[in-house]
Amino acid sequence: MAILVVMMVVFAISIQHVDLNAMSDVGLISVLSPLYWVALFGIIASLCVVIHIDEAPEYVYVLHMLAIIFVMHSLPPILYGTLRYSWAWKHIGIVDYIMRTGTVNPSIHLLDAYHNWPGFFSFNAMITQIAGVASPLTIAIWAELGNNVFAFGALLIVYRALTDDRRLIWLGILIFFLTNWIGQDYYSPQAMAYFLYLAIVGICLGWFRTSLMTNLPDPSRWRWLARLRPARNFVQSLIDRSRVVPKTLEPSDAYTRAGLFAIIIVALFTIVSSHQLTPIMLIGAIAFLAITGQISLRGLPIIVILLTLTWILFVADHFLGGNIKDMVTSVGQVSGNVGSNLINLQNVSAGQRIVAIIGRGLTISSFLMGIVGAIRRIRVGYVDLPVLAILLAPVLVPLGNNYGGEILFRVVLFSLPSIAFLGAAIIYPTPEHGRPRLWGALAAIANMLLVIAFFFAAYGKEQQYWFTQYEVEGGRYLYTFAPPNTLLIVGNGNFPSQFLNYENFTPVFIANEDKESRDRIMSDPAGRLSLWMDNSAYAATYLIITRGQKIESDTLGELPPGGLAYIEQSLKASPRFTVIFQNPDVTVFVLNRNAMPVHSVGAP
Amino acid sequence: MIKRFIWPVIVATSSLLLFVMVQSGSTSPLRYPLTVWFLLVCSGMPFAQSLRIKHLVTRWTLAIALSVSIGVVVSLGVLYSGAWSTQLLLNITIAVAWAGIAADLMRSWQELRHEYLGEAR
Repeated sequence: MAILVVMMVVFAISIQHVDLNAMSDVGLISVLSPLYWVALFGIIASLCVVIHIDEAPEYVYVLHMLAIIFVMHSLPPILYGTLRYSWAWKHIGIVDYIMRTGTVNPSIHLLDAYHNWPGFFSFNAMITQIAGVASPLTIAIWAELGNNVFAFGALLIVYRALTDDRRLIWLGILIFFLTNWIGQDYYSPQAMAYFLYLAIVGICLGWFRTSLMTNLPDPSRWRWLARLRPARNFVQSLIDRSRVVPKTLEPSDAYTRAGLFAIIIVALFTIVSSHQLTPIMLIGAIAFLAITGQISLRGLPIIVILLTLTWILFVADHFLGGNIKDMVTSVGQVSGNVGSNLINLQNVSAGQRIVAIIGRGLTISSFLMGIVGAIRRIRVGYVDLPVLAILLAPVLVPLGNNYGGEILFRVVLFSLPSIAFLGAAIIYPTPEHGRPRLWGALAAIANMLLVIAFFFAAYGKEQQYWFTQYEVEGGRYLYTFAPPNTLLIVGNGNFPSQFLNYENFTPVFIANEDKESRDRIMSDPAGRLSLWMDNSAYAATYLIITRGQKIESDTLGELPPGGLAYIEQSLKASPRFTVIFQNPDVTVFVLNRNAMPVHSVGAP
Repeated sequence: MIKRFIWPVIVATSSLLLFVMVQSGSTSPLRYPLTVWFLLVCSGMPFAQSLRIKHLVTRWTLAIALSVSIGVVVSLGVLYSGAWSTQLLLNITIAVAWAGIAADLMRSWQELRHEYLGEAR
C-alpha cells in the first residue's frame, strides 16, 4: 500500500508541467513526463505482485485498480480543463435541447437517433437542472473517469461469478482496462448502456446461475438422435464442465433474487430507451446463456426482445421509417460493415499511421491472447461457456448492420470482457497453475507493454480530441448568437460543435465533399465558398475554421497539407468575407451581406 | 444494530438537503455535488442495501446501476408526459428513494424481529 501512495504522489508531480501545445501527431504520449510512466508502471507492477502472491485482502486490489483507472483516465479532465472529443459536445447539445424545450423531436433534421433513444440525455438534463447549472459540461468532463470506475465494479461482479481464483479475476480486470482503447467511455449513451449491460450479465451469472442439468432429450426416444449420440454427449459434457459455479458467490433468499430481477428489468428498460446497439448485444449474450442452460432466467431473452421491439416500433418509429432502407441494405454486407470506418493508412500522417497500426495490433494481440487462454483453460478441464456467450454475442452483429461505420469497434468493446478474462488465463488457467515467480514477472512485463500500446491507441488522437479554451469560446459565440435556420460551413466536425441551440444550424463539411469539389475549393477558396454562402434559403450563413479542424484535416489527409489554413488566409484576404470573431484558435467568417454583432477579437 | 440505519439516514438527509436547496433556488457550490451524489448513488442505495449483499463493491455497483436506471425511468416518464420541470423530477426521485428506505427499514425490522424471537426462544 505504501508503494501505491508513493506512486500517486509521483503521478501528481508528473502532471504539473505538461505542455499540451507541444503535442505531436502521436498524441498525449509525446508530452507525458518520464515520471508519469514511473507512477503508472509502479502501480501496475505493484498490482501484479499483489495478484501473484494472492494473500492481500480485497481492498488492496480494489485500491490498486482504482488508482490505475484514475492515473489513466483523469489526464484529460486535469490537463485539458475542457471537454475532449467533438461527439461529446454534440451530446451536450441534446441535453441542452431537452433542458430548453422539455421535450424531444423524433423527426428533427439532425442527430435524430438521440431524440428517438433519449434515456441518457433526459437523465443528464435532469441532473443538470436539479444541480441548478446551465450545462452538463462539468459532469461530462469527468465522465470518462466515472464510466471506467462504474465498469470496473460491474466487471468485478461478472468475473466473481465466473471463477473463485482471485488471480484470474484481478489479472483479467487489469488486462480489460489496459486493452480497452476503443474510447466508448466518454460522455455518451454507449458508456452508460455498457455499464448496465455488464451489471445485468453479472447479476444473471452471479445470482441466477442454474445448478441443474439441462434436460437434453433422451436419445432412446428418437432413433435419429441416437445416431448423434457422440455429438450429443460431447455437447452435454461441455455444458457440464462449464457449470462450475464459484463457491465465493453469496447465497441469496427469495427477496434478494426478486430485488435483483427488478434491477435487471429497470436496467433493461434504461438500456433499451438509451441505446440502439446494446440491447442487440444483450439479447445475444443472454440468449446464449439461457440456451446453454447457464442461467435459470430462460424467459429473459424474450423480455429483452419484446422491450426492444416495443421501443423501436412504438417510440422510435420515426427513426425506423427514415432509416429502414439503409438498415436493410447493410444486412449481409459483412466486409463493408466491418471496414467502413477503418481509416485509410495511405492518407494519414506518419504519426497517425503508427497510432492506427498500434490500435489494430493491440486488438489483434488481445484476441490472440484470448484464444491462447481459452485453449489453455480447455486443456486443464475448464469450458467457460458464459465467457464464450459474452464473446460470441457481438461477433454476429456485423452481419446485420454497420452502425454508422462503427460496428467493428463496438464488437471489440463487447467482446473485451471475455477476451481479457481468457487472456489472464494464459498465466493463471487454474488456481494451481502459474505459481512460480517467473509467471508473475511475465504478467507484469506483458501489462506494461499493453499500457504503452493503450496510450498510443486510446490517446493517439489527442491533438485532435483536445480543444483549447479559445475553441470553446469560438463555438460558444457562434452557437449563442446565430439565428435559427443558419447554414454553417466548417472544415470538418472536429471542434466544440452543436452544444447549444443545435437545431438552428445546418452544417456543411468541406471534408465530406468529393475530391472534385474539394479541388475546386482549393483552387479558389473565396470564390467557391462565397457561392456556397450566398444562399437565400437560410437566415444567415457562417464559416468557422478552428485549430482542431486544421489538425484533423492535416493528420487524416482530408485536404492537402495546410489546406484549411490556406482557405482561412484566402478568406481573410478576400473583400467578400468579413471576420466577425477571431481568437488564436478560431476564425468565424460571414459574407459581407450578413449582419451579426461583432465580438471582441482576442483572448476569451 | 446502528449499522442498519446508517444508509436510511444518509439518503433521507441527502434528499431533504437537496429538496431545500432546489426549493430555495440555492446557488451554493454544494448543490452540484449533492445532486450528483443523490441521483447517482442515493436514489438506488436503499434498495441495494435491502438486498443484503455482503460484497461491498457489488453493493455499490448495484446501487449506482439502479440509481442511473431510476433516473432514466423518472426523467423519461416526465419527458414523455409533457410535464418537464425540475421540481417534479426531484420530487418523484425523492419519493422513489424514500420507498427504498421504507423497503430497507421493513427488512431490518423483520430481521430484528427474527433475532429477538430467536433469542427469546
